[in-house]
Amino acid sequence: MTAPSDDLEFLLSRAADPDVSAEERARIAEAARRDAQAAKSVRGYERLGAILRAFRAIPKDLDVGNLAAGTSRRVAEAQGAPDAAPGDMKLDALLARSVRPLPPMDWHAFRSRVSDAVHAEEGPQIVRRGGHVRRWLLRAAVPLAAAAAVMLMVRTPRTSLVQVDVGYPAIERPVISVRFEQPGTRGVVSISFDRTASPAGIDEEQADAGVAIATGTRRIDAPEPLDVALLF
Amino acid sequence: MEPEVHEDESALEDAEAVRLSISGDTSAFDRLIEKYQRRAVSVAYRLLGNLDDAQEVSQEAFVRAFRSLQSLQEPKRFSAWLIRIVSNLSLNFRRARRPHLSLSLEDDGGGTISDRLADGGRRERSGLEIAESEELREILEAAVDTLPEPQRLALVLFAMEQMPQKEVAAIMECSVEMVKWNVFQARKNLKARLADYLEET
Repeated sequence: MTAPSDDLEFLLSRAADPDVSAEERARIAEAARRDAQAAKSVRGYERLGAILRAFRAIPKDLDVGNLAAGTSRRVAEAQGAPDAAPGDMKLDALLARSVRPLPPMDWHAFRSRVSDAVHAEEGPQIVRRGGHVRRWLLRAAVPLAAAAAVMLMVRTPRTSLVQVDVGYPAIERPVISVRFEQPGTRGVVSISFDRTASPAGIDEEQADAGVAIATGTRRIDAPEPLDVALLF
Repeated sequence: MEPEVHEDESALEDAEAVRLSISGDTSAFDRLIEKYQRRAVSVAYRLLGNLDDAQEVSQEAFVRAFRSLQSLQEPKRFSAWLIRIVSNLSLNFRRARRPHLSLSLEDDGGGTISDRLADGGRRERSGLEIAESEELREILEAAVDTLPEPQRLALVLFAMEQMPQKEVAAIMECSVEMVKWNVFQARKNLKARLADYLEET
């Protein structure tokens, strides 16, 4: 018995799919009839399919009606909210539950480390724009030597609403988030600053920073507005 | 052909509900919520593994969808668009939680879950008992969660949620062939990792 080829394995993996054609079904049956290993593979995929369908299935008694009422209420609130912008999200609610605040940061040391890492790969391309919001788009490789994921988050004490250039007006606390996940992956670091924030706790050179987000997980091939919501 | 007729009717209803919602009729959007709430929560739950988070993300997805309705270029494809929002939010929400996942992978008494994944989950098992066992659930959780995101999403939408490949392709904004490839790679990956559990007893 030999392992099925990739083409055959692909076919066998579809044995229990609802959209498998009659012709494919016949080929699967023929392969299983002629080769015990193929037959075993089919049974394995069928069993896997059954397990996957049951995997994390929502409880049947989940009160979806109550949930829908809550959702409707939030939608109604969103409709009535002043200056609501497309794509606005209650980021703070999500962030508060998913990320722990970072202890005080040595921003000089941090910037130095990022800078060194960037320069070690290739020279950064810097794009600056005028107006209230400046954007640095650093196209560079983002190496990560030590950790599989590093996520740093700083929330400053200021609670005034901040209008960032990406159209999300209601980030109650300015946020700085840096995340590198894929060692050796080429990526982009994109940072947005807003002069209206001036949060405490950030070194003087970044005194006009309101929101700074950098990610190594999404490649941005051209300067474009950051979709803040999609970074989390 | 009948299912396609139903799909068309459903899509037309969605388009009308979108139109009414944009014109200010929030009850029309309530109908969309009722229609797709379970699917949204289900997808989010399969991706996140936590029902509370899934409900939170689903609600956010609906709010986000409502606020962006005017940017929806094909109102008939509301459902695919909504599930794309749910998927994106879920994956991004999960990325933010990843450090916690790393801890749970290491916190495992009789050999780490990662070890068990590496050796194909070799443990004593007996048929369906294993399929429902805590051990398999843990191993499957870890195996699914470590799949590359496109594979995981394709697997959730197609193999778990049983959505048509064409719809999955619309949600993932890729070709049907790419969906098939991702599902296959995910299945092959899981089959190898869960080899012992998938054998007949």
